[in-house]
Amino acid sequence: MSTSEFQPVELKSDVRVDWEAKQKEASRTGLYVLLASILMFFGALTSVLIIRAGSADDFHGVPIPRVLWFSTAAILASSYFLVRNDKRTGVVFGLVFLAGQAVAWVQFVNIKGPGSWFFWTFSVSHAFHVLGGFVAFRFARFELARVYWHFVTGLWLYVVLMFLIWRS
Amino acid sequence: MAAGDLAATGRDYGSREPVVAAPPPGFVRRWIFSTDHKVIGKQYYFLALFAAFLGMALSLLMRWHLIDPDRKIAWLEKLWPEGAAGGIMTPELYLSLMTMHGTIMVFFVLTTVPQSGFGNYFLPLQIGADDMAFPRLNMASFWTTFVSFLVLIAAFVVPGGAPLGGWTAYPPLSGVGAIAGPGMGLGMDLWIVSIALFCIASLMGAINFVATLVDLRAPSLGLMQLPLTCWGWFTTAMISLLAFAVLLPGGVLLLMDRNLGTSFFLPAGLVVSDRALQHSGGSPILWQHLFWFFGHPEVYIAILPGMGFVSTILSTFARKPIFGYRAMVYAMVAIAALGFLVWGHHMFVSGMNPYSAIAFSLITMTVGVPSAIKTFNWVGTLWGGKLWITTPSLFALGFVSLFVSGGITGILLGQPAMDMYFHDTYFVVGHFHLIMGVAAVFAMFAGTYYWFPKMFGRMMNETLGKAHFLVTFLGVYAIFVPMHIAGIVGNPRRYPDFKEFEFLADLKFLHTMMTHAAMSTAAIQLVFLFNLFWSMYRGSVAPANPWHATTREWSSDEYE
Amino acid sequence: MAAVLVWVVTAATLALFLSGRWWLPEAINAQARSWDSHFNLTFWIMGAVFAAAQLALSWVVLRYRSSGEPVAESGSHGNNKLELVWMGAAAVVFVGLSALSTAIWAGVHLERAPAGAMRIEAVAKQFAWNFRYQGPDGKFGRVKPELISDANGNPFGLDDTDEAGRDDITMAALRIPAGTPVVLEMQSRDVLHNFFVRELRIKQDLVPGMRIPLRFSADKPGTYEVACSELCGLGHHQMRTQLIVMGKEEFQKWQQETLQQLGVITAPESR
Repeated sequence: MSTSEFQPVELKSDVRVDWEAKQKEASRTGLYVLLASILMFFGALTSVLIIRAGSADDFHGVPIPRVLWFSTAAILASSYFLVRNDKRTGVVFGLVFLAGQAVAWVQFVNIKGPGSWFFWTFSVSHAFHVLGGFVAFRFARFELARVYWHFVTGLWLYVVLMFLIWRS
Repeated sequence: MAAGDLAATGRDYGSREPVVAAPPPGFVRRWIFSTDHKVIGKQYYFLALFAAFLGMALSLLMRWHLIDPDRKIAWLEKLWPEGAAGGIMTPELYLSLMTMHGTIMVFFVLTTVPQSGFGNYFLPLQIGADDMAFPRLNMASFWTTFVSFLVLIAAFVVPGGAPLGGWTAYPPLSGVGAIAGPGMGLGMDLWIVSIALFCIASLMGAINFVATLVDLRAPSLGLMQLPLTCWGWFTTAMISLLAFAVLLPGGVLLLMDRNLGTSFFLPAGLVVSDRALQHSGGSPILWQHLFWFFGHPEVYIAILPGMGFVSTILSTFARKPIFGYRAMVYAMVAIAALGFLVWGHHMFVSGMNPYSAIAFSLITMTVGVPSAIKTFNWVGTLWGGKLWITTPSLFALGFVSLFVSGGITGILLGQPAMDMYFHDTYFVVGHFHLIMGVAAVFAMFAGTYYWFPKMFGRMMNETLGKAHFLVTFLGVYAIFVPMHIAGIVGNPRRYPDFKEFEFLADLKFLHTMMTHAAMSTAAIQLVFLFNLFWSMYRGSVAPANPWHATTREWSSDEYE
Repeated sequence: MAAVLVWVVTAATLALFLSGRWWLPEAINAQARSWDSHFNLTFWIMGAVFAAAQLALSWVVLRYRSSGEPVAESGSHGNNKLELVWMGAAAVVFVGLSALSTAIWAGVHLERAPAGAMRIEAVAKQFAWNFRYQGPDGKFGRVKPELISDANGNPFGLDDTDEAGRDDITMAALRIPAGTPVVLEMQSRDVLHNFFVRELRIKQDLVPGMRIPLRFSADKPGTYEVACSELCGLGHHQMRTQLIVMGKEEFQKWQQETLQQLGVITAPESR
């Protein structure tokens, strides 16, 4: 255990480093790290949901608007097209997903109660992450943006699962 | 700069284009839209420097008020026509100063300088990278922090003023709006928005730090060869990533409770100011869980980089390698990991399950073990060395002393039974100021004196530096040790005056002493400020490696 | 310089702590006295570790300082064995202290109240305390939140139509008989508050939406200050009440007199 900070680490100036490859690796790491923090975000929301649902007797679930199944199909389709490297169709289905969500929100405006708050927080937080996906397709490398998008698709399935568990 | 020079310094081990770029001309391009990690590091540093002096000024007003609550201060009325009508500070003004002092210091100083300031500047240099992994994200992260700061400060000037709920913002006080008191309306909303923005900025920063450390190290630099400063930044970034991601939804939900009529944190049956509120089913304790799940790791966000600085600085000035390098790394990782499992020790008296308090207590006590290891190894690093006493090494030694003094009382507070007496007393205030506040600030001072030659090409004045250390070191002990005593007497914190209670009358002498110590300590900080800016332009020109250090930033030719 | 400064602050700190000029108030029950002895144990261990660590630091600074700008490099890289011994010792002391104090914690929060304990209800609000005693019927009367009104002198929202509530005594100060176990059932109706009696070594939040029982007793008659210890707004520092511990007979006398004033019972003379 004689590792020492005191001796400067030898630099080998003859080593050729592929900095571009390193930068690519960094982008990938950055992405995974981002996903971890998004998981924490939704994890925190979930724990609030569990505690809130269990701690008070005023909690009741909400009906799932039918259009959510349409949205779900749309986001699954977008991931499918992205797997096939069809970025354009994938993004279009992403927009279709958001349109479906918008319809669901309109239908939901008049539903009250704790269950509906969770519907709103989960679906709106998720929609922000979908918007982030569009930004990623514009600015980030396609393969990374695609990983992010699949993650957001998975996140949506998780959100739907939450709705199913706590539906009325 | 010729290519040959680059090779000689060992920086040109890649095939990339020129390593050293001249700073872009013009103030705007250089200071506003810069993506250079060194510029961003300085931007963070100066933002935090301003925040630190503002936060300190607020604390002086509080301390001054405490020893004579009925004093008339004419100019106070000019600043706060309502809060200090007639020049006498109202309790609500005192509490808003306290809230803002805590928020500014925790977020914009303790979280900002060690990680975002020094980290941005020196991490790439120490690992042989040209810049952070995502320079534009880095710029975005700074400007988000900046906006977050402006939003927070705006709370002072909106109607009602700054919030008075403390930096912990416990609901229902923070959740029911303006009827809970002045500042709990718009001021509180601004506070939450500011913190939410800060969360986002910190998350962006953390992503950058982790990606840079994992992937952009020089090829020959293994993880176990990293300077401990880098380990400090690494563990801190990991904590930020997971902790701020939990505070953010907490803030959003609190904002919803306040403005959209939801009840996440607000229960049924609230009657505030004789008015019944329409909330039901929420839990105030739930906020405390979310807040402290972030809030406890936040303590380590403040201190872990400082531990790294101190390790490096002590090793440099003792002319010895780190004693027990691996143990130091493991201790940092252990502190970071255990830090996520101990948040409940802030909530022993909150009404949570008493059995979970026992579990939280036992895990809390185990955090003491890696902390003890670190202290042991700092002393071990000095042992048998040839210690060169300079301002940076003095502040590093001061850090070790304060870390012990502040940490040791954690053994008492970590026991639920003992905390039943000490919770929310001045004992706690003394404890966290020593360990989280002042110890981290000493690390910042050590870092400033140590890295100044690299950052500005000149040396800071040693005589002024030593005087600064002398007064600050004695001063902070004189402020915060008596707080522990006041806590033993049972003095509750967050009281704008002590007139109501007979048992507090006896503490007048102690509080007067603390206030005088605070004034002296604050005064000497002006000497530091003078030294900092004077040396930037008039200090003696620094040699490339003035401290004969072995870490890589000193052999880099990169200057901002 | 550094070593001397460390001595100065260490000596001053120890002097301030050991002077005894400012200290804990006298404990007024067995629970608080056992709290005191565990506090003393922790305090002496902390003090010893504090002094030893500061002295070690100042000693190495003094012993190994160099006069100028040294260049030599020397010294060891570490010592695993010492590291492990140190780690073990720290773990045993820290975790051990916590484990020892669990008994005190359990005494307050985990043990059941004895059958004959006296139930008193506490309701806190910005910035006052109210306490309610069961009358001779041994029942708390029904309360309705919508009836709560300080202006009408009904801080609990007592429902007049409930017979059980007619004999409830409500007070702004907490009076208890010495030596009798008490269960204080604590509620808050607006924000967080905290019930803190120094002499009992007890502190507990009052949380809106929760009814938190706190069990204690006090041996020593006297008047003790109760300070709110959880930030509750701009009058937090004025939220004070008293715990008045009375002799058993004195307490009964007070209770009788108060009930007479309420008209629940008639005075013995007029019988």
